[in-house]
Amino acid sequence: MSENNKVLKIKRRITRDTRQNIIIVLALLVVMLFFGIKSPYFLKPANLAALLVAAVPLGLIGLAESSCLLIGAFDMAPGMVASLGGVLWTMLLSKYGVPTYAAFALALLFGLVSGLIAGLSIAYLKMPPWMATYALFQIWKGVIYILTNGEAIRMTTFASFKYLGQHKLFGTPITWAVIIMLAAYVILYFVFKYTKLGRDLFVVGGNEEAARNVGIRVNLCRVFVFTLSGFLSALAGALFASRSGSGQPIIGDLYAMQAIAGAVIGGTAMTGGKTNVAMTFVGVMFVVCLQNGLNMIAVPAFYQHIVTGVVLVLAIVVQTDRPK
Amino acid sequence: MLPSAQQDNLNLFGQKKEVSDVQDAIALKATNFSHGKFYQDVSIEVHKGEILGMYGLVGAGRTEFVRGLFGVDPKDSGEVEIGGKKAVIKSPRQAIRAGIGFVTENRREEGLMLGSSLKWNLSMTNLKAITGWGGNLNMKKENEYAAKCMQIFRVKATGYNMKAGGLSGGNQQKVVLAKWVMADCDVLIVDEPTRGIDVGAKAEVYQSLHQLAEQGKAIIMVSSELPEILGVSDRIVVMCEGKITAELENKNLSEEDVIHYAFSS
Amino acid sequence: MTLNKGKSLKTLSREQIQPAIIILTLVVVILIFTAINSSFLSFANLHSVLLTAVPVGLIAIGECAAIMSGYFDMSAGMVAAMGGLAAASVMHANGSVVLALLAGLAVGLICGLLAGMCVSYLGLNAFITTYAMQEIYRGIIYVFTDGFPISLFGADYSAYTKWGQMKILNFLQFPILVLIIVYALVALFLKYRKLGRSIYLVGSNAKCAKICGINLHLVQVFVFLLCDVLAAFAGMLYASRIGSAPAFLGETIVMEAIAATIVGGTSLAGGKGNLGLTFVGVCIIYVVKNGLIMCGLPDFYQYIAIGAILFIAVMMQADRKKH
Repeated sequence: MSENNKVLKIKRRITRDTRQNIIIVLALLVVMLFFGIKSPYFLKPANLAALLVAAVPLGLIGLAESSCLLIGAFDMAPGMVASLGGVLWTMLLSKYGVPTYAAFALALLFGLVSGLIAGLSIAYLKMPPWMATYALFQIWKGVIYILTNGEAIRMTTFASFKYLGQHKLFGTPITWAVIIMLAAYVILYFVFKYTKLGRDLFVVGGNEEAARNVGIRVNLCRVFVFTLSGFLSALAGALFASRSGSGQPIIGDLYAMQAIAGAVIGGTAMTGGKTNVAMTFVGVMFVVCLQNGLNMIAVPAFYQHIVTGVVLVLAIVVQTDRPK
Repeated sequence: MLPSAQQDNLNLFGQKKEVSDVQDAIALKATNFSHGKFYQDVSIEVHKGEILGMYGLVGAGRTEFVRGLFGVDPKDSGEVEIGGKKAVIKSPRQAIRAGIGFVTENRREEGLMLGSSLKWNLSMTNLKAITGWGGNLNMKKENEYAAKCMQIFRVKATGYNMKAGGLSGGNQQKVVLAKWVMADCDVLIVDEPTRGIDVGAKAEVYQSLHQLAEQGKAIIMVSSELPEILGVSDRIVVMCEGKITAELENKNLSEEDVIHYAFSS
Repeated sequence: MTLNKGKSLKTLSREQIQPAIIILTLVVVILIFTAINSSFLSFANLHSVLLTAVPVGLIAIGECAAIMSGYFDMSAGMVAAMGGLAAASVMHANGSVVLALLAGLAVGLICGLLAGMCVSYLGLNAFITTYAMQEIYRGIIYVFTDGFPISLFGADYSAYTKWGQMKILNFLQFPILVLIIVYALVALFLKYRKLGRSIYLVGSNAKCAKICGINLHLVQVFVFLLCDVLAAFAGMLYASRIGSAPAFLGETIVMEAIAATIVGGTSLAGGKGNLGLTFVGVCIIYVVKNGLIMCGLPDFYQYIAIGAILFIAVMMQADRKKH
């Protein structure tokens, strides 16, 4: 009897989730169609490929946010970690003559360290996640200004630097950066689905107390998630720098919010314990399309603050479970 | 059961009064309470001066029912009459205004603010009682109120400024009881009132419940401990899988009589 | 039992020394900057530190109440800017100070109600919702002002600007007096009103408070209302003082207010906080900010300072919690 009930319940749950996923994909298509009608250029293959290229930083940070949301936390730092990652790579390369990929590795190392600091203060100082990461956001912002004085670092002469972000593969506009992003999605999809670590993260997000009781090292999970998030953010910033051919001081004021919006639109629960990496990608593409489309129909940039905010609030409203 | 054990139980549960002591007036009447699969069509009535025991296995729907009755959790249907008058209860605020008090089963999560002082814990159900001129809180009144509560309920603590988290389980439970009783409710719902407290404190809790009943208050006691149900209550309602399976006068009942109903749906 | 006693005595004494530690921190910070630059410890400089601290000081009151009941309001900085802009626009259109004041407060009221309703009735996560609102407000401000301030220079607007520039008894500027009065009023409110007490109760244990008949929705909405109305008021006062309503009041204003609250010993777990000490926290942060400027460090060192202060403050709290 109750066994039967359980099966029924699971079935209902699956269909509800699937239904939700279909709605999200449809929403993405509707948005694309809308902009396609408004601007004929929007749906051209060249622009769709450009969308994918433009989605790289946000895609990686969306991945970072959905891992954080999975354990019920936000990471507010990605914007500045990404900026500083890009700045570090370009500075090490152009000012200190560090070999291209050594500098790249150092920039990623910086992301790891930043994430580690956040993770440790969240796990062991019991700092609210947003606060630790937002404090880091401010600190890195200050550091960026000190390093660059607010000016972009131009990288006109370094061909190897631009390889990842600008070298077109097989004659298509697809670059290595896109491949790296997609690879990150695939890897994390498998980590979340098929490894013990991934399962542990779901349990921690679903019920921390229960996770502790079955012997999952909750604090270690937290540190891991934020370190991962820092790493992905720095990677996003570095790839962005490679594409734009310069180290931009402030690229990501809105990154954290847009990425959270993407993850939440993709069905990630605000309270933790539920995420779907593939749908996160759809959610991120939704945000990117919205941004790109608004640019294309010449909506001023500051409306994007409003649009992003409204989209995020609506996504949260839909995703928040209300007892009725 | 051995006679000596019965003797001990009698001492522990205090003086049980004759059923005839129960007054006729109905204090609370709940009819047709239902909420999804948790409980269906539950109706109870409790008289003034009566202790109504609600027994059942864990998951029988007793806790869910009293939470629905108090308005903590939503319900699908159900009507409440208090003192003969209809009452709408959709939130704890309305329940308190109607004269009900509720000692929850999980003392540490819902019963107390462990990080706050005893006086704040004691006065929170009855902030009206400690207001002075202009509706402002009067700290002197609050201290006196807290001291009075602690004296009446014999709470063992260093003072009313002590944190509730520093008390033993029994004393914590006395504080929870005190904050409701001193708020002057007519009907008191107690859910697992002696869970996780020592024997001495248990006896004091039972004694308090008897005293309240003698003062004419109606008490609904949810418990999973059969000796406690048999030792304290005047009447017993047994629930199984969300439905009431029996309503028994607590006269010459054996444990088997009650358990039988707890298993049959 | 005796062990219990000793434990409780210890926690009590810790709570008693906390104010001393916070005040001592302020004194030490002042002494450090005085040692670096001897002109720091002058009445004129301390007065100007306090004057620049007024907006954050007012917002910190709201944040303190919010954090005590377990929430954060990230949109307060933008609400402050909008309050100032609304008042300035009304001054331009109409010239009535009373209407300007009402317009600014109405902005705070609407924003606070919106945030409070979202958190209370829709059950949304307070931090991320108010953060999203901050971005929405930022966009709205851009749309209306293009990022330029609304000037209030000239005799036409002196009826409005005279309040912020007025000096009481020739030494204390009016906004500082307002700040102190508001602190006193809200502190009294928190201590002596039922709603004020309810804020603490909800922060200590929201479930327990709900069962004990505290109006949870009212407390939640009120906290955001207090935060945003005070923020809008802060923006108006600031516009009055500098004679112009800026489009933005600085990126870090909310962070400074939250940092001040935590430096002032407000527990991140909720339920514990003290407005007097929050005021000391505001002073500490502004002494540090002012000191950094007097040491000749550029603006952006302040980003680092705020972040670092936040880490240190939480670290000190975490240490306390263990005992």
